[in-house]
Amino acid sequence: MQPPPQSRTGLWLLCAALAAALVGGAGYWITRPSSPVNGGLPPDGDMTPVDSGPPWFSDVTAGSGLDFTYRNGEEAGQTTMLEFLGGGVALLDYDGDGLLDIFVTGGGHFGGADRKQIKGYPCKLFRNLGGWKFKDVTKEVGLDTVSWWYTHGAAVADYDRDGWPDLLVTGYGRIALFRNVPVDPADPSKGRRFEDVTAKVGLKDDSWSTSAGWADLDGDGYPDLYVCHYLDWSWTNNPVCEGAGTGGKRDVCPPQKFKPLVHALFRNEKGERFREVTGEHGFKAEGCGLGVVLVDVNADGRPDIYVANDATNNFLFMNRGGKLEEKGMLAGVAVDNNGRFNASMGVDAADYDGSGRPSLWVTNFQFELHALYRNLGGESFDYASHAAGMAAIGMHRVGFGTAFVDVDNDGWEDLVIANGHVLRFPTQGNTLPQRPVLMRNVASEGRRSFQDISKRAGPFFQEPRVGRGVAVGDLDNDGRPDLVFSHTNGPVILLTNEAPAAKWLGVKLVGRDNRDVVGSTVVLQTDGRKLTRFAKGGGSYLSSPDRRILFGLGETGKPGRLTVRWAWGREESFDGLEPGAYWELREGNPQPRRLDTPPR
Amino acid sequence: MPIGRKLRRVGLAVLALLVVGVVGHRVALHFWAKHHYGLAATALERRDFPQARSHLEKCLSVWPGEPAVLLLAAQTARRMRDFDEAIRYQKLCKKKGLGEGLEREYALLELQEGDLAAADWYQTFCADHPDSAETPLILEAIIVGRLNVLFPLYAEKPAARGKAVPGLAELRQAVDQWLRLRPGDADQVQGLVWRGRALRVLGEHARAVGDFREALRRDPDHFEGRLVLALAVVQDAPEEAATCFEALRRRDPNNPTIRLALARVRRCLGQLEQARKLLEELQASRPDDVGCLLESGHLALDALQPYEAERLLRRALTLAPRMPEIHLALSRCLLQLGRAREAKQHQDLFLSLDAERKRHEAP
Repeated sequence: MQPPPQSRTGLWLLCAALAAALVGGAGYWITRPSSPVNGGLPPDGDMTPVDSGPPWFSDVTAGSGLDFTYRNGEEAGQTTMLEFLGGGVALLDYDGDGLLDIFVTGGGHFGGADRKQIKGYPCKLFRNLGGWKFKDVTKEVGLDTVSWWYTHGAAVADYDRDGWPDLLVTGYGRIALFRNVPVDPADPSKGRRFEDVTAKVGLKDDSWSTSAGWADLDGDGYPDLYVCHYLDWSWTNNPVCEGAGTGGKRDVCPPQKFKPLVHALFRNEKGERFREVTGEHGFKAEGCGLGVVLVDVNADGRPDIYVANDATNNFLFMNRGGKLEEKGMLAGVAVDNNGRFNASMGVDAADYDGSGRPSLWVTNFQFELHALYRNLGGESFDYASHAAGMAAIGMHRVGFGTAFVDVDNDGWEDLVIANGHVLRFPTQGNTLPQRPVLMRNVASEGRRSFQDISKRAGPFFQEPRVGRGVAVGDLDNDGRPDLVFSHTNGPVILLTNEAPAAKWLGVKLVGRDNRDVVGSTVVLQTDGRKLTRFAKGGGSYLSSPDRRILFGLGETGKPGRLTVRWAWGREESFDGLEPGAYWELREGNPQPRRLDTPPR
Repeated sequence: MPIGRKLRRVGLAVLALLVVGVVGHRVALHFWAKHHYGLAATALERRDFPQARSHLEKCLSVWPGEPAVLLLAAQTARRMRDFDEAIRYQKLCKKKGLGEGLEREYALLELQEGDLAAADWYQTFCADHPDSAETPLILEAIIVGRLNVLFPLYAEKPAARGKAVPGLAELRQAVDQWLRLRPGDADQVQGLVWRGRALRVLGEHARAVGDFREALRRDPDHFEGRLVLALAVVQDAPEEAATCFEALRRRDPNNPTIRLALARVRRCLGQLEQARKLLEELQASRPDDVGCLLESGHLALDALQPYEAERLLRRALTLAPRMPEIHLALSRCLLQLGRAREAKQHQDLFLSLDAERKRHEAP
């Protein structure tokens, strides 16, 4: 039976209308004006929401064997300035097995009848056994016999150019240099140990030292040493300060109650002696120094020094071929955008904006914005904290250890910050323990800015702690940077990176005859992008990270030519680097060597 | 009936109607005015001063010389911080020969403006006469006046903090008394906002923010509460501050202080495009606003547009040549432009002008 004529007409009309709609829609789809994103600026390609999904970091401390707590001796009730600085973490492959080991400083306490004898707790070295297992090898490496003082920081470098990382430890009244030597020179299989060579090499520093950093500042190949000194606290200069929110109880004094100390610069004389040369540079590095990073900020192939000071101007020492010139104020990195010095603690440098230049980053005190100084070139910086959205995390935290780290290997370096107050009784609703922060480097309005992704970072980032040191390193050699946090009177925490997998490439720079490489710049060409990374000394707070350099390549990135501008040297290019591996690049040797990394 | 008589009767009737009409009109006006007076009183209970003023103005259109209404209009204008209008009404009251009530109103205006010479005397009066009908009005003027001195409404933070700040104890006492005496919803909300501001002077930031949040929970449209919360959290939670400022801007779109504050927060959050829109609107209506020019200069610097920044900052400098912040921003701008020597000059000027200002501010 046929449908009535009217129905058929209606059907045809409906079909025609549908066809017209389809054609029209397709036409519109093809010819539609491209809608501007962010006012015509480049699209925010990586603004993918990351609020939900599995956490990017997991706490693997429990059961790992890394069982350690930095103690500050607060139970003595002295409330001294010593107690708030905390301790750091150093990552080094001391035994050359390809796995990063963990050194932690111990802190100290107050002994004697009057509780005024400043004593140290032992520092510890934990050997990485692989599979997220660590073993306390302090005794095996000879660090158990050290008469430890009240320690704070650690810095790693191969000071004698023997190819093995050595260890410097700072603290109150003393520093010590531990040389990495074979247990038995005749039998390398017996492993390595550390030998205290402080006196032997003439490294004498009885001041109050905090962060330290190594770099070859004079071009002789041997890394020189910059040591931050804090302030002139002692038992004879120990004022009683009443905290603003304590109701009459004693609290830690503000640094302004003390005089800042002159920092120390030690020249490394062929790995045999150290000579203090601070006075020889025509400047007086006087500031309450807490953080230092050594990096080539002006692309002249020489490492420069940036120092974060508490309650005094920050320093930027430009390396003029071995002579240092302080240019912090002129370069725009000494103070904040209000022209005021901050209470600065941690520090790092990275090319966060794809400019190819290292910008400087400093964590600051409560009510101060952490400072991001964008490197404009020409030894000039601009205060970019606002433009980078740093204010979004608020100014209620006190930032300490920090690092640029590309946590998701998208090629853009993100930021991690360890937080914790210094006051026992903070005001304005603040607390001594504070949550750490992870900020992701994202595109926004055509520039780079940072977005707080602490919620996604995992449970560790939700729990307040008295955070101090933080060190970044790929502890399982999977190409994803892991994190180690130290806390005052709280356990060291080990976080494994479980961010979604992306391609990566790792490089280890080895200077000619093991000369120091800090100050070198590494540029990797990838599909349409140029990733610039820097060989740095110091960094973070009281801590020393993995010195290998990681390039995140995203999901599809393919590494192209890699160029190294060696510190104090020439430029060399390397080709044929495959992703997913660490490569050793030796100065003067055009053939990169794929490093065997132990199973994870 | 003769025509003349008829006409007279009609005339009388018309006249009577007219009289009735006029009298009726007068009576109706009286009741209308009385109705608005009542509505004004109700609005005042709700602390809805603009509404109260509107009713009082209607009232005064009928009773232009009524001293009680004029006095209430003067009070209302004062309480909503329209001091010019308050003084105008006070003058009208004086013309009508109002005595005692007007004298008190003069005193309350002075108190509220921050002239606290008589504040202690009045506060003692309030303490001694908690049941007096005048006490709430006096307390309000004392509280607002003391806050004006210790922590002005639009200030981001108090000039001084701590329990030893002079006048703070008296302020807290007055606020506590207000909260005891005024149980009405609107007055309690206002009391919480005042208490929060006093707590900020004390340095009890968390408790202050708690009071602001509680006030806004009870009255989400409370302008002052929203403003002080925004200013209190601008450092700790700038996103929340921005949301508050947005709400305030919707309520008072032409308020330049709020627009500037919102632009500043947006810039600090890295939302430069939104900040730019706000500042451009503001500049169009206030081309000589130094604060706006400075903020626009900062914005241009954040966006790495130093030439535009220099134009804005030079203009700001012609208007306020001794303002240290402009020299600092200009120094940053010149650094971006690679003119280090000039930058150094302005940096030095900033340091000297800033030091000079600190010397003046020092007790």
